[in-house]
Amino acid sequence: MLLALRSLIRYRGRALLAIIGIAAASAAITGALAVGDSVTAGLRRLLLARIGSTTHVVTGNHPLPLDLADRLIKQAGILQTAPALISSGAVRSEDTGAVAPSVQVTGIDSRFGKLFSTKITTPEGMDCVVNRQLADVLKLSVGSEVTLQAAKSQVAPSDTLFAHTHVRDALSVLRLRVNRVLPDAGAGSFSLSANASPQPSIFLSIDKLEMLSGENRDCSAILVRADPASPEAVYRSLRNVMTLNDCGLKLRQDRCAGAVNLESSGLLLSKGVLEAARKVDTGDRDGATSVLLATRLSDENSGKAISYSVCASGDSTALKIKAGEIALNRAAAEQLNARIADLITLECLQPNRDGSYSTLHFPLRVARVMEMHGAAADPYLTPNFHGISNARTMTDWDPPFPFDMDRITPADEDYWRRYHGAPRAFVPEAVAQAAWPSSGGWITSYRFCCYDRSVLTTFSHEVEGKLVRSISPDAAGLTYRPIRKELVEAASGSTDFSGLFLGMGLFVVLAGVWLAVETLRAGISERATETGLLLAAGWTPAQVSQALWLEQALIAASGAISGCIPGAIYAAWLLQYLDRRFQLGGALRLEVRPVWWLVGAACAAVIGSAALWLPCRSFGRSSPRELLCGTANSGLVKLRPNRQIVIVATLAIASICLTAAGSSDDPVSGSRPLYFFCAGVLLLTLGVPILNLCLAALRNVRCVITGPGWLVFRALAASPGKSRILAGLAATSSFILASVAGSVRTDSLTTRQDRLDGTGGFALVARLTNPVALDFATPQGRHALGFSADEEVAFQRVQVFSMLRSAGDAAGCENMARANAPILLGAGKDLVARGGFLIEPNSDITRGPWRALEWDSGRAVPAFGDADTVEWILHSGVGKQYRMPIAGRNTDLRFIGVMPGSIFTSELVISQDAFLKLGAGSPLPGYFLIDVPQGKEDAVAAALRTHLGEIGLDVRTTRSIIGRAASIQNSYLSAFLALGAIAALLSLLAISASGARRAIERRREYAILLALGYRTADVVKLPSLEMAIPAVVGVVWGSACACIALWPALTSRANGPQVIAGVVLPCLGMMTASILCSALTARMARRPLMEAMRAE
Amino acid sequence: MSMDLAVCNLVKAYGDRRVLSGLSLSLAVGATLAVTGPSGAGKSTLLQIVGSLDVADTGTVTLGEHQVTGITGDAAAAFRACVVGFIFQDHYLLPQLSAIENILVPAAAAARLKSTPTKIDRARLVDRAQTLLEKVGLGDRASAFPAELSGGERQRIAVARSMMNHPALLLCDEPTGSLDEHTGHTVLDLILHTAQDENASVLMVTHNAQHAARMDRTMRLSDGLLVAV
Repeated sequence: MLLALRSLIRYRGRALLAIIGIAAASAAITGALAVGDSVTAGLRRLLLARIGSTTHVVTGNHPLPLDLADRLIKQAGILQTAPALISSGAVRSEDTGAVAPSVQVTGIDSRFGKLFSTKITTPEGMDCVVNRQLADVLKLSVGSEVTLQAAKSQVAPSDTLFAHTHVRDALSVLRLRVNRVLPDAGAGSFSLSANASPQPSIFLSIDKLEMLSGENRDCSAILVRADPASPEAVYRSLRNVMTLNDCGLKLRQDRCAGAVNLESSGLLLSKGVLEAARKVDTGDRDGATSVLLATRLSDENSGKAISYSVCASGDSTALKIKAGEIALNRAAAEQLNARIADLITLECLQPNRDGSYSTLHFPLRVARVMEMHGAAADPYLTPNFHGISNARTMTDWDPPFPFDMDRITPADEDYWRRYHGAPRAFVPEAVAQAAWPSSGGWITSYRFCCYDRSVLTTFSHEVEGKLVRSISPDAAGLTYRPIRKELVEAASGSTDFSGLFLGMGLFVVLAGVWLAVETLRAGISERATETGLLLAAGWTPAQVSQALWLEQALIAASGAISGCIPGAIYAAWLLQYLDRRFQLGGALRLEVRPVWWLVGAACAAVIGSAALWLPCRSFGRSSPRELLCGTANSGLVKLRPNRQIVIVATLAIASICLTAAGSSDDPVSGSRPLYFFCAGVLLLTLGVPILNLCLAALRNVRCVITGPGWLVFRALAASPGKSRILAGLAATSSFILASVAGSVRTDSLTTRQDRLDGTGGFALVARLTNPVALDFATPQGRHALGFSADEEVAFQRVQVFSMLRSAGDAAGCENMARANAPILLGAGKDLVARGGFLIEPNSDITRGPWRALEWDSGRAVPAFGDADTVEWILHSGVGKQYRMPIAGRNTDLRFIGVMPGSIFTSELVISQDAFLKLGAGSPLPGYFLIDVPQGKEDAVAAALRTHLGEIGLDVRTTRSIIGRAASIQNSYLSAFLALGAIAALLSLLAISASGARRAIERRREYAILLALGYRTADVVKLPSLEMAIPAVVGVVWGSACACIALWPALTSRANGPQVIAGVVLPCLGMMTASILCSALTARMARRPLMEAMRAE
Repeated sequence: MSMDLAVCNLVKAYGDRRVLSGLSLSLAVGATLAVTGPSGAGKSTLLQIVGSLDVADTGTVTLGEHQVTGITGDAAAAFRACVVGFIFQDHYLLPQLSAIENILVPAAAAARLKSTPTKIDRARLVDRAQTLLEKVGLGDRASAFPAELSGGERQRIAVARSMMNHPALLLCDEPTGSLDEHTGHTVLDLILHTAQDENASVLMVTHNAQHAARMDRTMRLSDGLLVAV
């Protein structure tokens, strides 16, 4: 131990340099681990703060009764509940006119605030509370007035005739006053999604929001704080308290028929509810009934017609209607003057996604005329629908679809007065099914027959009890999410930051360790005599090795521990940088568990010790005599040229193979960049044995008198280790800097969109927050929306392709948190036919990739995703499956292709049919791709924002979307560049230290040269040249290897110039810095050489 | 041209300690002179001042028409490269150069001072170096590095190096100090014979009385002055 300590003190210069190298490696390792741990902790804190003490959330595909919250809290294990009405909307500032098109609207009551530690008073009356994000966007303050347009709660599915989808009907407009601005942290950014960045939010009284929906006492979610000791408490409680009303169901007694009808508040019964009903039904007939509204029934034989007739279908009617047939009740038959076998045309309206309507026609033959009793006169077959069922007369109808009152005849009014909604006709099931193409089903009620009408009420209660026990919350569309657990999982992040920065810092680790190894190797070779003396004095080789190893271990440990402080500084800087880039408002800060510091330092110490042991091994192969004579490890020991040649040849062949493979690969996609990058790295490594061979050749060349240069090359050859340090570090740093700088994405700089690039040829993308039927694709639609004639000019040759959009988490690199349920987009047939986008399909795709999106139920759902999102965020790949929850059920997607550099950075694309079948979201389009002729993008975007911004249309350019993704990726590259700069700094430090050391160590030689007649000016150049030459060679070699690594990008017309600049600038910078360092060394060498001579 | 050495009234002090106190000497062309004296007397200082490696406080040194005192820069380098040759106690061979390359070092310095040497010059210089190598008995060790040579061999290379540029004066600072007796005699023989062949003067500092006796004259440095022995 004494020997090790004394040696450290004696050779403190080298030891210090080695410690610096190990410290750099330790800083890189501990810093990376600290970043990963801190990001996870920060995200967890951020996401959990948004839900307060909530542990679970109960939601449904229908509005939930407010009193469900009151019933749940009485259950064991439930500590707190709070109802919330969560919607979306657009907010406009009345002061500035600015619009925020995508705002989360939350209706709350006093119970909401109790879930958070900060006091939140429920806004009353026309007051509202906004978060800082929204306040900053719209420049709001307390007292500001805003107009909110929010989506109303819908009763019927959006793709049915009975849904309010038009702008005037689907949105409620409120004038509000801001009475508080909440900070973004915590309740201000209340959200149930795993999106790290805060969303603009507005809070108002739940009562105020409900009133505008016209519904009674509803909410869309119930926040629950459950006892952590009872993880199943929520599900159990829900089962205990659940009623039919909670499931959106109700039973209606039909005294005429002696039956009880199960109906849904959403008009249609789901498959799960039907299954439960059939299980409960003890009757001998299936009670499923479907009714539809025929806008016109016309008898082709008599020429007469009836408007707006209810038609029914199903076994419950006790009628067997064959395909192609129709049965009329007596009243309808008389009104139509119809006879058996007459041809009746049934017309019904079908809503289109753009708000227009199509008409379906069904030709049917009259098979029967039914007398006005039983099903033929039963109004209870038709579910209640507000706006129709409660109307006294037909002219009082207020339906959501086009309704022409002029077509109502006195006979219609008479029928309505006498029979109300009783079906006038009975049709085959196929007709009913076709008339309800909704993803929500086609059955409107289920009839339970009670054979004793006197006990109908009791029967009704019995049926209700059985149904409640039989229907699972899932089947009823009720879901409960362990939201706290989900967000903790999401907080682990979309990216393994520890791994990412460890990978990025690998070069720094290698450079630092290498610096330490080479420094000590050079030093140990000069200590050969000491080692020989120990052996000659009787020490065993093991004892000598142990002493050397102890010295190295002390260096490694010192470096590892001292590296923790710069590691912490580096981590803190990185966290601040990431926090700013991802706009997390200070959520990320350095908070690391002590174990990670120990792990990082220990890893660095182990790696350092192991690496530093390498030079010591050579002593075991030398005899004491060789060590004493100084020939064992002098710089003039012959290198092994044959071995070096083999290594050179192997690496060269591997590099050539890789470049050949890359050259032959698909130039547009494929693994071409990877091949070339690997080739570049191999070539970089190849530099070491090539350098060794060159140095060996220099030693053996016959003298040629050319002056100081000759002396310089000889000196370099005599110290191969030092030359390797300088050249190697310079090459590595240049390679990192050049290859990273050259990899910076510049996609957003391209001005023209191409059909086969990431934009698909589209200039604009629009997202619609509110589920309304919108037609801005046609001149008629734009005219109806108020576009002016001038604005219409800009829309010439504009094409709009709509997609369905689900709610969910942003899956791209912009979201630091892990997406639990990525946003899905459903591509319609028009987009499939158009195609476009750069797609790398799976090898088993034989037809066009867009057509391969068609889905056969039972298999994994075919999907596309952005290439970087799929690989780096979702950790999947082409041909691989990815499981995610869709409509409360875990569903497997399969990536049949990926899109490099696409605009779909945050979403996954499936077919529209799959989207609807899975019930992924609203059947109305929420995402629009807009193809605009060049030069008109701004005009089109401005017009859309002006007219549709307030209803929630958020328009962006495709360039900005790709640019934002690129900037996030470039952020990581910038961090990598910073690490590369640290490695470069390390190199320059090594270069300077090495040069200064040389100048001091070789004073004797320089003094001799002076004595032999060399000019002082020539002599002082020697150390700087000995330093600059390997450094410059290293920089050139590293930059050249970077060019190979980036060859595909370098030779690309689009990115080539930027890549070249990215390579050349760091190269020039490094060379300049190297030359400056060497000049500095030259100054140091200008110490009075006469004094040096005298000293020697 | 006569290349007599003339040293007049040389004074040199290091702080309060006066090492040379008005020392004078003269040495004719081709003559040899040994300087003896106790350690620290100033013998090496005298050699360094004569060789322009150090500067006297007062006094003059001339070698032929070369005014040594006061020369600096390129003039001093040219003087050391072409007019004098040094042989030190420690050979001071450059470890990274081979034997013949070490001999060529002064030639490279001289060539730098003049102009770019022509190919013919290079060949001539290499020839000269090889000849010197053979003269010192190491003709077959041209490509050996100092680590591969014995102490005596290294000193012989140093002798050859000192003669490369036909110096008028050889300055030897205890050239045999680290050698055994036999080798020391051998090296001294080489120095004297080579100097004689080149008609060079020899000014040698030595502790060895036998070696001093082989010089034309011996002087003792005492109290900063030279006294004839």
